[in-house]
Amino acid sequence: MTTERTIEKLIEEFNIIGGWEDRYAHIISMGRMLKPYPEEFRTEEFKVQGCTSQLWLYPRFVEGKLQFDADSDAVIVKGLVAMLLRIYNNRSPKEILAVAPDFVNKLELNNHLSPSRANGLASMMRDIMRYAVAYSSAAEEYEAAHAAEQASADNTAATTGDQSSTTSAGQADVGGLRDKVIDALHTVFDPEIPIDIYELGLIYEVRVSPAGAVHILMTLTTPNCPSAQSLPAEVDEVTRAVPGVTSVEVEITFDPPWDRTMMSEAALFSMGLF
Amino acid sequence: MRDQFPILQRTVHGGKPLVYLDNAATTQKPQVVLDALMDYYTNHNSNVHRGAHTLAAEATALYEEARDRVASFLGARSSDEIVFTRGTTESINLVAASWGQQNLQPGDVILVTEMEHHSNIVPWQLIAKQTGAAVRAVPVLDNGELDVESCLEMMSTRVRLLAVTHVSNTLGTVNPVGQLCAEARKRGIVTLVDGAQAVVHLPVSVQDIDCDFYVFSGHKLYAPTGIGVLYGRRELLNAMPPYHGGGSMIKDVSISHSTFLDAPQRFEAGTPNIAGAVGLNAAIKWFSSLDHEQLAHQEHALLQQATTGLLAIPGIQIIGTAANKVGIVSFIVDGVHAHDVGVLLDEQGVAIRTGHHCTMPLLERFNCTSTARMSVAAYNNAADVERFLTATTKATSILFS
Repeated sequence: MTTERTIEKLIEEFNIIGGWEDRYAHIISMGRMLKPYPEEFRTEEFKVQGCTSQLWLYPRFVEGKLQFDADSDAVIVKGLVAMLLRIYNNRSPKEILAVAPDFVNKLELNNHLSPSRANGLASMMRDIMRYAVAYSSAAEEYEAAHAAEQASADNTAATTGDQSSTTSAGQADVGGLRDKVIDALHTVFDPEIPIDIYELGLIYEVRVSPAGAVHILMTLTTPNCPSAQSLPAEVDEVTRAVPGVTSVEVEITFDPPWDRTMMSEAALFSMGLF
Repeated sequence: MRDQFPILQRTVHGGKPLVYLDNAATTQKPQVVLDALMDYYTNHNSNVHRGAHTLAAEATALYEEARDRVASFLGARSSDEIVFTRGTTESINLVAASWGQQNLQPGDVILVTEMEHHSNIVPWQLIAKQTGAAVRAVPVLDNGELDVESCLEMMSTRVRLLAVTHVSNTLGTVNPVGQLCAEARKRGIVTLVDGAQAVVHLPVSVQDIDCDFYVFSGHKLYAPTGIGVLYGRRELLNAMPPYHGGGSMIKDVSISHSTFLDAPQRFEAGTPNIAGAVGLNAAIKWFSSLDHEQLAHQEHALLQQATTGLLAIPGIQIIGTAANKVGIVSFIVDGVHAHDVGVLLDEQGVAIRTGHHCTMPLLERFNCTSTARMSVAAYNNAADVERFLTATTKATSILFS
């Protein structure tokens, strides 16, 4: 079912419900249908900020789609997040970001949701969107790889990253190549944090010569992070795969050491730290 | 009474009459207060304590009349002991920053209680961190009363200041602040009493309590937001360094050095909230004209009605059963988050507060993370409490189904 159809169906459901009591009973019953929330992710990291009750939202990226687990200690909040997940769960980031958020207004205008409840939805939707943004390039990569698999071998990685965000870092842009390299860097994830290394702020500098030589200055979250040892090699690999890149040099520095203030707003949001 | 409060006439959620029982968060404003604000801006608006013109003199007179009104309302010795602030929070921050910076040393102790609002904990933590002092908290008993015995034991020679609330915003408990301040005084401990909840429920005399500082917010006393009060004993205030620097608080300024006026001007840098003070004056004037014996009687009856009614609803437990309580009732519903209760009451036009009420240590002491809280004001009546009880019954039946 498309997101549009799900929203229509939701509104139809509310249309046949009479009083406010039954509306809430319906919302609460949607919450009861959520899968049990994985206890290991009942952490500060996956808490949705801005709710008076506690709400957790955990994203998984599975075959190009985002799947969410959610839970709240308040049954109405749990019902509301369950309602949202009927629309957003198991969709690609692109589908999620394409949903027109005015469906909330539709629910509100038809008196299916009071304005204060509709406001409560905002922080949940904000987090779902942030996850979608954070996984956008990974999804595009997945789609590209998938398409490449299906099509013949000459369909290369050139399709990556036409609409991905170009964040901060104020150096000169050499013929769009630097943007393509940054798009590629968006596809590399820190092994311990579900955010790409560029959003995390691990990339300090990307220099591209007119001849296509790329120099990347980067750091690791901690000097002695064992699983992060694989990152420089991965960075080298994805950068080398960008069409037009002729050589790659990855330099590691711990000056200045990385800290959370270096994360992009999107990364802070998706970690619930903003 | 109710027709003096225009906002109480409005409806919510498609025509449901509003039952406002979130008065511990803020009270609604009577017409006389709204009129006073309008009159000030329509006829007298000007800056205070400067300027030779008519409006400046009128605005100054109105502002200082408000200070006089507050002084007599609190039973202060002099209007010079009344500093206008933005509210309780700023008043406490002022004392913590100014008095604390000057008087606290490593190893000193600031005594608070487990039932304090965060605004009577966090400013002390901040100054403790800067000075090397420590913050300790007096425990609360199971019925929500302060453990006075422990409090006396904890008043050691290292304690420099006791910061205690007059009335708990979450439980409604009235603390024996007179007794605590007398004990503190014997030991040379400076006292600050948080009167944010008390002034609207109890007669307050700072001379009877004999505290060093007493603080409250206008908006919980039918006045506008953004105006509050710090009462301080004159000798203490005049010995304290300024909190904010700026205009109106100086005697003389050169580029290398400034000298400061005495309190209260010393602590009122910049253009103050003149309209707020005018509104507070009108609110206290209005509040003082009420029959307080009758009000106390009515509040007690509403408290009884709410308590008995809530206990009759299956699954409800009241947090805070102190013998001496004002019209504030916190409760929890078995296995239900307070937020759900609040939402379902709101849907029925009943406004209460849900959450931790800025008292997380207190809720932790009672092993909960949130409660639902109803709190009454002078304009509430038995019909309001009845609608609250009916709505709560309905809410629990939806949540338990």
